[in-house]
Amino acid sequence: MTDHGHQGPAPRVAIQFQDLAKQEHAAHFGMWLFLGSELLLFAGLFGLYTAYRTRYATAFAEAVHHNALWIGTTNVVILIVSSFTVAWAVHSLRRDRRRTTLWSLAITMLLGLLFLVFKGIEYGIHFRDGVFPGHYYAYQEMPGHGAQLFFTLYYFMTGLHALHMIGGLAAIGWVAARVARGKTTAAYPIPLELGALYWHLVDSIWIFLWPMFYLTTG
Amino acid sequence: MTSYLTETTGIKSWLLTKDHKRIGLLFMIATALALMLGGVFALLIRFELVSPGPDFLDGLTYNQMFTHHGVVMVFLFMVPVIPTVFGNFFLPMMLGAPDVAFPRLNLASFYVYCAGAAIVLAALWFGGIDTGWTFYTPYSATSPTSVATAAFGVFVVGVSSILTGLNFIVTVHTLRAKNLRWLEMPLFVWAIYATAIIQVIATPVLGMSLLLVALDHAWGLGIFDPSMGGDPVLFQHLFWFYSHPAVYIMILPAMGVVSEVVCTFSHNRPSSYRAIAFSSLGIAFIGFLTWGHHMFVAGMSVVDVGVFGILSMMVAIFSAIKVFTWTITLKHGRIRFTTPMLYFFGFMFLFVFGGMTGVAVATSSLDVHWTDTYFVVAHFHFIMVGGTLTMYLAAIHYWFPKMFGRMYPERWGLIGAAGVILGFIFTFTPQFLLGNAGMPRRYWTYPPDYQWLNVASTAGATILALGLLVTLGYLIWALFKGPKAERNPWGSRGYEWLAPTPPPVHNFEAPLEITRGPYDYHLPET
Amino acid sequence: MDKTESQVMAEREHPGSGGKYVFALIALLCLTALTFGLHYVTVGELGMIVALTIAAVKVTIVGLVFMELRRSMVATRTVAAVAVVFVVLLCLGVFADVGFR
Repeated sequence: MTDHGHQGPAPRVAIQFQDLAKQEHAAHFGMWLFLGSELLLFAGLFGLYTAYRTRYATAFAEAVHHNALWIGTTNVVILIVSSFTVAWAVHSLRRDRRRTTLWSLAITMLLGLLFLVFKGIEYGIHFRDGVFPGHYYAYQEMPGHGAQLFFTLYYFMTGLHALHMIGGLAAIGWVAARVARGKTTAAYPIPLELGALYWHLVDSIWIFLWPMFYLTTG
Repeated sequence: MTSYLTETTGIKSWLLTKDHKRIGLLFMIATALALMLGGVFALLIRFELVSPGPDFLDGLTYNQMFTHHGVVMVFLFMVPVIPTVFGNFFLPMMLGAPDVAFPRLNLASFYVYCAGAAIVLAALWFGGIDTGWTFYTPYSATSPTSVATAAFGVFVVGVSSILTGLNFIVTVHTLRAKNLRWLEMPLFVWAIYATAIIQVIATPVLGMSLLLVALDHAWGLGIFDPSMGGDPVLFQHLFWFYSHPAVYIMILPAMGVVSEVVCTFSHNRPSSYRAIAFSSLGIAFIGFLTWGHHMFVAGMSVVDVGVFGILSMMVAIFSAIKVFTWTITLKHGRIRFTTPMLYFFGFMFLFVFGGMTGVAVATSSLDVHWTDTYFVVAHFHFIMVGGTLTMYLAAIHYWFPKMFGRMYPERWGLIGAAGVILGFIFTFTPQFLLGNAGMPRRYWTYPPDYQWLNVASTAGATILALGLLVTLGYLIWALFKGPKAERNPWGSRGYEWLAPTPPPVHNFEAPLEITRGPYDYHLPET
Repeated sequence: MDKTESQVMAEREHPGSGGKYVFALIALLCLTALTFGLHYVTVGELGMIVALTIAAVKVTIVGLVFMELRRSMVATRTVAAVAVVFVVLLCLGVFADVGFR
């Protein structure tokens, strides 16, 4: 067994694992499998976007104009920075810097909340214009099917993403509480590492949604 | 000496267990109930079709019967059964491990399955569903039945499947006994591993497709709705992206059972271990490249029709490799005719026949004639019932002594197997002829010329049902009154047989030392 | 040669400097600015392809540095790669239909 030389209780190895290293690998590997399945949940939606963009290329390009570029871009910057702060939290916890860890996590959560606030503002703008998903679409300026499908996909993909953000915030909050109480420590940082991995996936998805829904080209 | 069955007692010790063996038994009961329910729907279909005109079901109810049959059989039985029952029970033992990687997640996946099944059953009971188990748009968005609830229920069951797959993959990677290398694991483990990969990758796409249908039905999301410019064929792409690999989720574990049964009862190592191990991965991979063959006449581009047709033929290569390997294994072995072996011979005939008809329907120019007829129905039942169900029954008999410490009555086993196999042949062979003669699937009534084949099929279904009931009867009897089994009644070299019968809670009395391969029949057992 | 679980755990316990995270952040922000700038000058579907390609590079950086795939075992990296491959596969299959009808 490795000598950790860190503060915090020595982690328990469950009976099915031969040693702590295998248990930790299982945790990370299992989390990656879960992230893989989450990515594949979005896969169908990327597929639908591919299909409908191919079919309604002009309408999609026009509809992108309506989305607020400044909100989408601010949000992608927010999430990239928040990935940095959560990675910094993991890095700090490993070096046993509990206060830095907690500050980094707090900023991460704040950024996440900010993302959702901007998203809410953006949805509000859409509702005001009559942009609703599916059969409720009522945007006079772009009445065609292509735009209707664009916004339906936009709502569904960003909405699903936002739900995952909320889940991510809950996970990070839960881990932060554990760090504050001294339950997740340098000796056993796994819950924070796994929460951070989830957060990075949520960021990665937005990195793709940004060009798909906000960057007009031609 | 206590075993996993007797170590703790009381209902809570079962419902809150983290022991993979008890969880396997919980799944065994749940999936068996699903099989019986699905079977009831099947019999209702077959009895309605005995005469050309309406008998005792009206059209809407008939549509609900085949939909319910499909949904219950596919999602509540075929997809989960062998992994959750025998995978759960034996995967850790075959690796020399005391449990799976995440025992609490394992229990959770059982309750998620139950929750999903409950939602599905609620949908079937209140309003039913009549879209076919395939939920095609645009009808699924407008059907007056409980589509949204049923689709959501299947989504939840899918979550259970993903969790099981995830658990098994991590288990194989991290819990192998010291000295147990990848290419020394029992072949059943390879089969479960390949299946688990498909479960994790494919199921989320099904989840998304059903979520979109549920939202369309409930709230008018309309993403596949032609009146909104949507394309209903896109639903089919998403649906079959899962549902084709799903059939490999259904057959790969059965093939894993075949490898174990064949080697044990021919007292021989597999003629090529690597052929079987790697072809499992091959099937898992190529299986993802073939989904469009369900959509040859749906209006896809010619490019997709051509590409998917060719790729679909390639998957048969891997199945053929397995069939030849098993055959050569038998040739050089000492065969014993037990009930599992009889089921295996049924499997060989039915799976090969069904597989060949699969290559036939993969030929898109021929499929134009056969698609949406009973020919396709017969094809997939030959694989699913003739392939998976036979090996599910073989697995029950093969591992019965290890799981319960008792032997089943061999003579009754042979009778049950004969009833199931012969009943099956009489049920579904006529359906190839019906389909080739033009009878469409999912039709409630038909022209009188098709009647005698329908009657033959229903007669076969009755025999099949009786065979299954007889089997259930003597198995339950054997649970309580069967003669006590010794540790390794079959003389198998599999690692699970090294454990006591029935096994203790942590599977082995001391950590398992692997000193030989799982098919070393040239060596003494211990 | 693949790492062992113990080697990975030992590396995680000795984290070294945090410089790599800072560099990754800067790289990501620069690529974001690049994408932003390019979208004013690229036209049509080519523009979308360029933007998505840069997005893929960004996600790779997130994966390799923030998510530490660079020092994970082969099995972990395979999971990430396979998931991406299948997303692409689904999109390709759909495109081969809709794009050629």
